[in-house]
Amino acid sequence: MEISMSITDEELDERLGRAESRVAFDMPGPTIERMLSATRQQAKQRRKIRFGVVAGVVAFTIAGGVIAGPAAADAVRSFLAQSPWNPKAGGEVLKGSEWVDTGASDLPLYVDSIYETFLPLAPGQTRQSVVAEVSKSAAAAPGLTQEVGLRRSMERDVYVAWVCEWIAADNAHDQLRGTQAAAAISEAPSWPAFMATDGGGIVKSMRIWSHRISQGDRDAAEEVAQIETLKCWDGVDRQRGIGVVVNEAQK
Amino acid sequence: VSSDTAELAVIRAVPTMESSLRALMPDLLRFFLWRIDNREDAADCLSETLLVLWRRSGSFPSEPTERRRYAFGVARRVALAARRGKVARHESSDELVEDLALSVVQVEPDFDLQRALAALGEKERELVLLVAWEGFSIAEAGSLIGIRPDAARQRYARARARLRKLLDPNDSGRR
Repeated sequence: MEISMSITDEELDERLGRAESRVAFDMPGPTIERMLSATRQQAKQRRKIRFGVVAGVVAFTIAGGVIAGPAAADAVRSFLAQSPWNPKAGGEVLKGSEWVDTGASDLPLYVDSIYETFLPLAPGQTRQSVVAEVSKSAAAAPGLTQEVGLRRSMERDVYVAWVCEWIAADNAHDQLRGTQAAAAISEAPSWPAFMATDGGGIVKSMRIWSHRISQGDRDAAEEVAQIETLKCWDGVDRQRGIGVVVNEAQK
Repeated sequence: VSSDTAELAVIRAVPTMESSLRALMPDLLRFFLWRIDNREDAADCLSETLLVLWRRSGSFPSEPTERRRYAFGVARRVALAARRGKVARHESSDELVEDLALSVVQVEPDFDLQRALAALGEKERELVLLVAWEGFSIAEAGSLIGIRPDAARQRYARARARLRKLLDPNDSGRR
């Protein structure tokens, strides 16, 4: 008979504690200050790109002149009021997220500057492809949107790519690919822009679907594909199933 | 809230953000040193994390415990990106890299523990380390890696049981 041996909980805690204390490094104060200062500078540089976007709106309005009229003037005042340079006015849909003009010529540059490097790209995706896709979609409807909306679009782009990847894996009976895709889908509801813009139901729905997908439920993936109108959707109407999830998420 | 009060809040938010980051930096660096093989990359990860946190200062929680959890949530994502080779080089971390080269000493590394930790799945390992080294509760650690509290507790217990077994000196044949 085999006797299972193991160390005790106390011994394990001691080993972990000892290992932690063995990396001895105190960050020098001057290094901390210089890194903070550099971060501040870098953040400012990114804001300069945003300023370019603001300038684009102003230039457009000036060029529009009389034709643009009062409505355009209001739009500019509103944008400047809600920018970081005039926090008194407030009124942003999501506090702390700036407004950007999706019609500005440097939009792809801006989107690239706020690209979220942690996003687990699906097979076939690259940072460039995500930035290009989001910029293209946003530019298709010129107007003002918040930065968080663009970040959310990037997260959505990656999320739906994984849903299609899961469906493709299921078609190919490729369990490894499916597991990988399900893992990314499960993480998606905790991505910051999804969380930040959630009114309470969307993230919860995503969690319900991701749980079902991780259990191998093909209908769950197809329901997401249907509501997101993805090319990988099989075309079968699952409105009823979608309704069940949406109702569940509202509870 | 009057506009003056709102402006004051914005002005105050800057030093609060900076002082929070200042306090968090050593812990965040340690987090990366344990998880990223290359010290240069660990320093870059810290710079990237600071930049992300700064950029999202609007959504930085006001409560210190929440701030810490939020910061480590960002750090974890940056570490995952770094493992996929997707963290940018930051000039701002050059000085830190030099400091690290001169100062970081790992006395008598516990290779058996490192091997045992490496044998765990990524999420199980993170659960154990976030609790043991970063001082988070199991539920907090679970939320950082996207696991519900009850599931986190189960996986944490399983991971520890596996570590205890792997670290048993009489059990080397099964490693």
